[in-house]
Amino acid sequence: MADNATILATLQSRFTSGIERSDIYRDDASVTIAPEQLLDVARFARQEASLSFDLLLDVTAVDYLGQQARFEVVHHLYSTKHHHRLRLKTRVLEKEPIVDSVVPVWVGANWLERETFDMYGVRFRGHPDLRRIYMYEEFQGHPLRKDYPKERRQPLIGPGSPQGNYQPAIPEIPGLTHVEGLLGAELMRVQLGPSHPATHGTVRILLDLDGETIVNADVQVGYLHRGFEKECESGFYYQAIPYTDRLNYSSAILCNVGYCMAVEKLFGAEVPPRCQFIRVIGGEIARIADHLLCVGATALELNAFTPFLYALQARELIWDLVNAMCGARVTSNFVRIGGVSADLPAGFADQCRAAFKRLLELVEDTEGLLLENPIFRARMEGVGVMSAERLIEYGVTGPLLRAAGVDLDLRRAQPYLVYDQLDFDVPLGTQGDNMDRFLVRLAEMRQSVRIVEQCLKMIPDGPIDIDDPALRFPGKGRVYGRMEELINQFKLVTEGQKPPPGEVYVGTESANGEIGYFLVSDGTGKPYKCRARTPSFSNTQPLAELVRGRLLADMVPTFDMINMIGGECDR
Amino acid sequence: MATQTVAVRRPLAMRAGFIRSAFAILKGLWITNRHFWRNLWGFIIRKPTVFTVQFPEERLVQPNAFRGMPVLVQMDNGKERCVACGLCEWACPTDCITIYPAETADEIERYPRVFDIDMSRCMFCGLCEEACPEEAIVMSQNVEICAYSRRGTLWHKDDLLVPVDKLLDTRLFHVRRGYDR
Repeated sequence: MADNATILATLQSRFTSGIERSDIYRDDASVTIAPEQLLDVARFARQEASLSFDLLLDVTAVDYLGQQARFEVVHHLYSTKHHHRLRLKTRVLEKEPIVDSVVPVWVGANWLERETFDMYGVRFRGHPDLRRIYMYEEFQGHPLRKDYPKERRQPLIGPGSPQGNYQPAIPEIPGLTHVEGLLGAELMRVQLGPSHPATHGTVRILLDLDGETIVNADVQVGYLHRGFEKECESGFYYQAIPYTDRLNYSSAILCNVGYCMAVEKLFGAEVPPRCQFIRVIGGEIARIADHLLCVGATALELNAFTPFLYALQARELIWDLVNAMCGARVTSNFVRIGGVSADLPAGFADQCRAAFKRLLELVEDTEGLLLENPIFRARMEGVGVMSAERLIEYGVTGPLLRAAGVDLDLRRAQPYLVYDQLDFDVPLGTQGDNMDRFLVRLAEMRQSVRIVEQCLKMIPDGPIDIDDPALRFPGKGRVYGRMEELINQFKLVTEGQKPPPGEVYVGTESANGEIGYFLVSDGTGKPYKCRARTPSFSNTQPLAELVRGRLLADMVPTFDMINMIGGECDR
Repeated sequence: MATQTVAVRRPLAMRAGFIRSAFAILKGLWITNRHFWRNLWGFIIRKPTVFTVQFPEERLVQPNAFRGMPVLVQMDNGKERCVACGLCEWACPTDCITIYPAETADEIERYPRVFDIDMSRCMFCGLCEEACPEEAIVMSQNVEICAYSRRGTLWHKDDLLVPVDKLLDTRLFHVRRGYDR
């Protein structure tokens, strides 16, 4: 693992003129490069052995309204070999917001650049298919630009077409021009979704079928887009926490933890040990819930109803634990900036142990009904295979990548919170098919149970919050009784926490892969930019390639094992 | 402490054959039957093991941390504890709270003339409760906000007032645990 200074020095020695600025802020290395050099720098960062940034995590932009070089396109890179990170920044002019596409270097940039184009209007030269991704084609303007008012509404129809009569055009699938089917007939266009019983989550998949074989597929996301980033930018830092619940609604606490860690990193603060343990406990419990839903729903969609009920019964036990911790089952809103909302309730350890005992029995029953079942195995084994290198190129992380045998778990690669003190295994698959993905999730649940049990033994006494009036609301006893704390409470609520200007990225291991938050602070109480890099978005991207050439029926288990969560994918 | 990687164990390669399939069916029958008899026995001895709740007749006992809809705390003299400072209005991410303050000659001079919560927008996040400097707005156990019209989901001050003793053993208990942190 090369440290940040070495990474920057390597880049600077190679590109003497192209690098405009390089700095390290809060352990994040970032370089600002000239737009014409972007593709060269990207290629170099990917190929140079000491850097080998093979995983493109995120592409986004920041809108600096009023400056001549208005848009800053930001790329986040990660190396699965050395486990280090780099941020590439490119400034483009307002008049001509064009930058080179990095799709030739990382295939996974495709959707990410489409999203940046959709939201900011930055165009990417050389992009194979630059369409809007979240908004519909007829949408006017680019919603994440700072001069697009949050309140502006647009009708959901195209301009100039009479209301009610409007038929949206069925988009052409890129790369497909009048292929004659093997049977000599025309291909059949099938729309799977947006609301289909076998796609839990609203996603539309356009399929071109030759008989029952999928010739080409176009995955269209965005039906659950609700402007997460715009909402975050218009509220205070603490007001965004309930919105992070709605990203991955089946493991909300993991999303909370990532966001709060990012804000704390902006402040350069560290939470006390008890709080870190509570966050790990909450997060791992949420991870179990997420995997249970994935496992159960897969069984359901492959027509095995009983294992689904067992999995949901086990998830019910998990929700009871979450409910006792923070008062809600799904939308937990548990973690706070600089702490957690409440200490663990009395008797929580015993409640946990009792729940886990029953949970493991139920997981075993779910497994027992499925793993020996010839029908289930025929639909899972050898289906949806993709090589590890290709998956990395697509930016896939999490259980999907680990099932292909890549040892990438941020809890192990870059331990955060107290994961370095805990003893757990990282399950890896061998063949990278759907069966491996299923088994990795089952094994991870058992590891999460192990982690929570260890934490409950090791958890120290002590405060659950940072004692810092700039970050955390003071305790209610002090607010009611003392003047300074009362004033502090008023200041924090009405002005928000004010981190120093700067930008940070924090990636944590959520249930489906790396969830990362990229925050830009301008010193006020509202984030200037709050970007969530969500795993479902990157994981859904290879779906078209995973199912191409397979039967239509293979679509369902493959889609299930990707475990696309609509809220997280569409934000 | 250290982490290590382990390879997942895949089930044995499928051997086509009647015996193996029959074995899988028997195993499945064993598992489902175990659940069936267990649930039946729980039904007979009146300790149900099924997790279905017959909702309107039966209700779950929620933990005291439970966050239902926000309500206003009513003091013993029948007045609200709220002093209309407006912090909950500030903190609310969805802007569902509307307050018009007014003054009286009582000991607590300020009170909310109007205190409306639009329950159709409220997401029960509890930030109002966390912002409140007077313990005047807390989350209750009530989640039933259905109404026949949109206007019916707008709750006014009189609908929101709940006597303090009704809240003491639920959410207020949970909130006061973190009193001295």
